[in-house]
Amino acid sequence: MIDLFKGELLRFRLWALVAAAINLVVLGFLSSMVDMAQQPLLVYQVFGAVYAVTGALLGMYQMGTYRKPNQWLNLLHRPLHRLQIAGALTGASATLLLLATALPIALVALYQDTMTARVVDLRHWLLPLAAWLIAVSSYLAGAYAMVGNRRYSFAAFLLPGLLVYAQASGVAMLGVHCVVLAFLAAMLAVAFKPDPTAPPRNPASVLAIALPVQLGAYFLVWMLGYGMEVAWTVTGTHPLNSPTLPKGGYTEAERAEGKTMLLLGIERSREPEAALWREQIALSDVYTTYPLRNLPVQGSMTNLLPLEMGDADNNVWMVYSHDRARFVTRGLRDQRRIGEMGVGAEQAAFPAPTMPYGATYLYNAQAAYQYDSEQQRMFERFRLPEGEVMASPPEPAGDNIVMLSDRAAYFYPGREAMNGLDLLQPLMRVAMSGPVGHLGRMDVIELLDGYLVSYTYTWGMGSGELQQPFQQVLRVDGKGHAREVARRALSMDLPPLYSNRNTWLSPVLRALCLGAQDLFAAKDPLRAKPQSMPMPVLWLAAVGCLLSLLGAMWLTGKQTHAPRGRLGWVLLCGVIGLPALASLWLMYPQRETLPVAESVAA
Amino acid sequence: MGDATNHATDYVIETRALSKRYGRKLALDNLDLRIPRGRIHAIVGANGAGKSTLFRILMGFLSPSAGEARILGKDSQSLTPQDRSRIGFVNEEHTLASWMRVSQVAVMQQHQYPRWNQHAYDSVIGHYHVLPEQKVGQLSRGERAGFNLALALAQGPELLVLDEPTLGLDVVAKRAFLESLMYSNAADDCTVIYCSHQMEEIERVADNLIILERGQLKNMSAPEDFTARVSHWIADVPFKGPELHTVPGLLEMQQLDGLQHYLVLDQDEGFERFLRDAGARNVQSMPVSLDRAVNAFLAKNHAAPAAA
Repeated sequence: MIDLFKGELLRFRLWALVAAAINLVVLGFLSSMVDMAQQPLLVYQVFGAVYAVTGALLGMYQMGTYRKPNQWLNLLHRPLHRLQIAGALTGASATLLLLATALPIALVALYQDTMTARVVDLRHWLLPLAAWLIAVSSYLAGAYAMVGNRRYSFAAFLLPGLLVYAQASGVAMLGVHCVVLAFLAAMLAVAFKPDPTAPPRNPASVLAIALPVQLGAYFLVWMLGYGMEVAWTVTGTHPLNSPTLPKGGYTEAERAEGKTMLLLGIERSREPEAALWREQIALSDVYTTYPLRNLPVQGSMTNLLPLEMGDADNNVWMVYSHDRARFVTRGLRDQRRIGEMGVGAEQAAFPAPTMPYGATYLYNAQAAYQYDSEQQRMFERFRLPEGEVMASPPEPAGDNIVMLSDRAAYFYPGREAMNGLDLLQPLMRVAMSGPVGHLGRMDVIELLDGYLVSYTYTWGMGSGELQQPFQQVLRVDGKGHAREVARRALSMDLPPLYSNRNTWLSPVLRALCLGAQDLFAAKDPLRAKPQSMPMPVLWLAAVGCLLSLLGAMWLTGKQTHAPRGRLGWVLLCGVIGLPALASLWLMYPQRETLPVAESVAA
Repeated sequence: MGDATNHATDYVIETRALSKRYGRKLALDNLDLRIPRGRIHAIVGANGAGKSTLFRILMGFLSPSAGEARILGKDSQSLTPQDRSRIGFVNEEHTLASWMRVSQVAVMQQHQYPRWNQHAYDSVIGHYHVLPEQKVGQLSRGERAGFNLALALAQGPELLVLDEPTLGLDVVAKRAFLESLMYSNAADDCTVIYCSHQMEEIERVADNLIILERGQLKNMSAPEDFTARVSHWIADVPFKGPELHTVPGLLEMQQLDGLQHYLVLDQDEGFERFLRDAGARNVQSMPVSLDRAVNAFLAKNHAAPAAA
């Protein structure tokens, strides 16, 4: 086994060295220009994608060359267990990918840590590992795509796709990487045998292969839905591409300007003041707030946005350090380390990773801060009550300032905010009636004695997580008392069976995808629980499962299965639905029947 | 139990009603084949006769549609690594790690095969001008074939399968390959299955000739016995001659210089009477070469367009 391993190392060593050198040169060059530890998420995603493609190409090339009939026979016909051979090949590739992906990142991190004043936290040291795991996962997917039955083996590429949607961060995210890697390794182990096209028979192996194939079929049909939208667009019948959007729909609500949104909200209001409000809306500024979908997470390997800000007047550059829970300061011009900056005069630790926004403001999950250039200090200005988290940092709303938590909007005195550095107390709190995870926007106008606040819940329509979009308009008086003055349900715009196709295609797979997305992730207060599905969608799902069950009974009769295997597949198709039936058709060829006459004659 | 012992001792390859179907095509058709232990057995057949399919099933790389296949007494679909160490296989592409040096490949094989026979390796590789430090990718096709044979024989296999090993080799390389096979003591200790289209090679090395046609076993005998079954008759028939469908055992008929040449299977002196009864004035019988006999045999049922 060790000889095969060494042979494979030998085979790709030059390519690995070239890849490592390119990676190091690119990272080194970028590192000389910018702080690679403080890049927006997109930069890390681009690098991750490059490593994924590198791994996938290696897997496809390596196994593609071995998979030719004579090569395959030569590889596997030797006195080694098939898994030892697989282990030698994949082990060598994993080692080479470590050299090509992880090592250059680790070297650049080492350079930044030891030779610059930049912040390198523990989380950054996880990046080489994450990059390597991404590359190895994609390598295994590419290897399986080549080794397995080509009718369905490319479905393996869906599994690394989970890494894009996973909500976990930091070490927990590495756990997700490991789960994906282990699953793909299991798939390759199942297929890595003398006849890889033969379908697996062991129940665990069947499930390991069938699940990605089912997800592939599920994903494909779901994507075909977008093809339908293209067809609507081409024929000029797309409801959302017409000159006038459907009246009262969620698309209209999402695209409308603030004034329009408020006017739509009170369109049917019978409040005596409604006419006056309409006039005021026409004359006033409307302040629209879109809630955050993510917050910086402690220990997260990447940044939503760089956690850094500068003070040119004082020649200071401040970078938030997760490890120190404070900003680390260095000279803006000489790049020399200065010190650390916490909250207030005590230089206290920040309670959570803190992100700058605007020129002098910063926020984290629990509070917002202001940097005072004169004192070169950060002061806590806005604090949310215990148990609430930031959904939108403070923004001006007329004379005052509005800040959104996951449960309410808070209004703070604008004048005090401008004239001091003390912690502000809210003037009023306007509770939300729905979860912030479904909130699409908040529109506010300042009245003479209070506010008119509109909450519009449209977030999650595309994924089927929101089924009842609505708009609520509240009148808040000068003392902060809020009362609902209008509420209207918004229509879905597109047919519910189209919007919810990810459910009726397979409720179980949808639940599985949602579960996988949240694997090892901490609860996110900015996300809402999916709403229950309408009955017609559930009925359609039941019909799909029934059809799938009947289809499996017919199809398994034409294939070769042991009685228990056949029963298992029929039940699986009944539970999973149509994607399982598609996987059954893809994975098992029709039974090979011999011509009766010839057989008898022989 | 007794059966299993017999399998292990009597036959290196045994198939029973073995069939393999690809879509509508039968690659192997109820094949019953028993190849005894020892000697060199040649398997011949036209392209598509089912040879490669048979080997792939025997090595466990393809599952049969029906029937069973055993190799060295073991079910071919459940061969263990130990079983594989007893079977050498050389294919026509001589697929070896082209990026490795000759010495590295030899060392790898040496580590993997417990019965590695360095003497056998040296004796075969000695027929070629192959240097240990050369990369496999730099070897000529003939050298690669010889290196592959050396590796296979040095494994100390009980059964050595050579699947068209000289395909694409020039005359010199072919001769070197055959000589290194024939003069190797290691080859004497194992059963060799030699699959080839080169009749002169088969005539030279094979003790047993197995002919496959359309997935069926058509002949299994010593090559000279098969040659003896095919006879060449030259008849001087002044008129049209007998209708071809009435000619017994006809494999091939040609009209050359006014004489009719018949290649027939399993015909004795009675065939001369048949020709004379059909109006032949002179009849002569001649022996045929193995090449001609096998080619005529295989060409007999060769597919032709319906209109032909």
